[in-house]
Amino acid sequence: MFRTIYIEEAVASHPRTQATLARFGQAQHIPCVHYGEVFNRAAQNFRLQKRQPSLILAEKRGQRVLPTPAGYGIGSLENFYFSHMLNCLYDCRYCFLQGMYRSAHMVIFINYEDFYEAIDSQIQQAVSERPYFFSGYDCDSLALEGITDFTKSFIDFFSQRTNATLELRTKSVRIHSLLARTPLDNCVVAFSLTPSAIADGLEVNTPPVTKRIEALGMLADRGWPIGLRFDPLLYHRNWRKNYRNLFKAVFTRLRIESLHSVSLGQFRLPQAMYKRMHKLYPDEPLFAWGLAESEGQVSYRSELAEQLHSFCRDELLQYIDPSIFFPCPSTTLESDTAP
Amino acid sequence: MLYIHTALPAEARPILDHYALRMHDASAPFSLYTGNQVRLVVSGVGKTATAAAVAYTYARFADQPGPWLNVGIAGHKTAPLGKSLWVQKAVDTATNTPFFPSLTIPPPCDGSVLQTVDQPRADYPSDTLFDMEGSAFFQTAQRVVPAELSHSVKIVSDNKEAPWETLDRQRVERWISDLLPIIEHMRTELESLTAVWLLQRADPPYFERALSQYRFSQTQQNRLRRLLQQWHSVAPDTPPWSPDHSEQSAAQVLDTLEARLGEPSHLPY
Repeated sequence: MFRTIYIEEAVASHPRTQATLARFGQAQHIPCVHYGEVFNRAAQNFRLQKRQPSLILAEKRGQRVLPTPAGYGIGSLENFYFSHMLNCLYDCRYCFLQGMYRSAHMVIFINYEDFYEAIDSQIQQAVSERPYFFSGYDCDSLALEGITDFTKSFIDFFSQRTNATLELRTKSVRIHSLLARTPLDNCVVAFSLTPSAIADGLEVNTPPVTKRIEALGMLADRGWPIGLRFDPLLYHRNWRKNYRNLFKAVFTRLRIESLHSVSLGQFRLPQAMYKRMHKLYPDEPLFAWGLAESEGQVSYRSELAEQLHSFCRDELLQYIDPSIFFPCPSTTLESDTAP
Repeated sequence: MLYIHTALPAEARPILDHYALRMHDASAPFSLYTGNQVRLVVSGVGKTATAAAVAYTYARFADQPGPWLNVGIAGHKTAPLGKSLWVQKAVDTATNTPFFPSLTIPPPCDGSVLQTVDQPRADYPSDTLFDMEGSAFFQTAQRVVPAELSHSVKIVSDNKEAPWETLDRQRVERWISDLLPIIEHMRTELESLTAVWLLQRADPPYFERALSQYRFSQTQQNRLRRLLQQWHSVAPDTPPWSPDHSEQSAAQVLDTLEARLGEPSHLPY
């Protein structure tokens, strides 16, 4: 899987580093002082690197837990995110990571204990009843579970912190470790879903949507709280029919009482990020049709965004209670369309 | 087109013969050879000569950019003579600055860290490769191509038991001949990566034609390039303008194109 592994010298002897290296016996090991020597350097090309990304094992220094942008919560007053990884195994053409980093290499920060400390600190300072911690912002929370043991470690940690909620955000179907343990009420497994008609073309290397639906159904049956993330909503041929069918497939399989939250998100990118992504993929139709720039953000023209959002909202509200519906903030919609 | 850099004429000789390269310009400040698939420059020894030769060659063929490969001999503390090694990291020992090629192609052979030194040395202080050009090669090549397209392969020419003073031209040529399959392997692997990179840099169809027909400001040219790229991605088989289009100005051309691009018939997926 990884042919090359860069290792920060300071973490070379860390047990998590050694365990990871043992999984890739054939890989070349290359030492570095700081992962920034290899990751995100100016002369790198994300698209070329994505063909064969390397793994970087590093220590996360500085701020490890950050507040989310305003409005990006799922019901909690205080929302934070943390990234034990940078970059993703998958290659979704709409993903902002392509525009955010010049590197497609995957960085794993192996100092989990320092993340625990930072999370504890935020919990202690929290003024709300139940702060919310998102783990899948710069990566997929589950996709590299076989290498990172991330969920195992962090679910153990959150099992002792029932006054905080962890969200795992994923497109992965690597759910064996979750099925094998007792569900936690304060750990939400949130799946990102897109109609198959476009997922097949735009979500490279991801499990098929049907398998994701089956995976979330199995987790729901087991008792895990489930999040549904229809983000980004994508305008395409037959989008009404495709989104309607997607919602129907999900809610046919899912026990509704296991549902923690449902959110919608627009296809939206800061303009500079959009430009970088279009330069990487000038041949990609997704970046060519129906988009407009407003207030430094590129997204669908307002009438298209409104159509998408209101249709999907109305469809979803036939299945779910409005209290668990969370549309994400928008720059092109005229108003917040929460019911 | 693969661009190869060597420091010594003896390192270049087997490559010139294998790819049937001919002298490009006898008056050039560096020996520069060219063929159908490969161009090669011989810089002379050292970091300054290397940086100058790579920069000169790039500028000379700026309209035909391609991947860069440094090929040469190097010392190593313990590796046997004649062993091929792909450079994973090059360190300029004068400044302790590391340079990393991006290893996105299958490894052609074992890898090693390379230390680039300013003077030949016989003490081999660490278990790595030693040369006098590698860091400068990467520092310069990564200015002109992405790190995925700049690489270095070395063959061990001296070690603790066989110091560099015993080297001769015939042995260098023989070792470099042994490297030819690796060079060819890298050339073909880098070719497909380069095709993607060139696609990213290319002007879209109809761009030059539009520039010749209307006067575009620089800002309008940027918009034209983007719109034509977008057009080509949603309607690759259809011209962006009808044959009898009647726009009077560059601004009208751009507005018409943007309006056509937004038509529902071009909705992707």
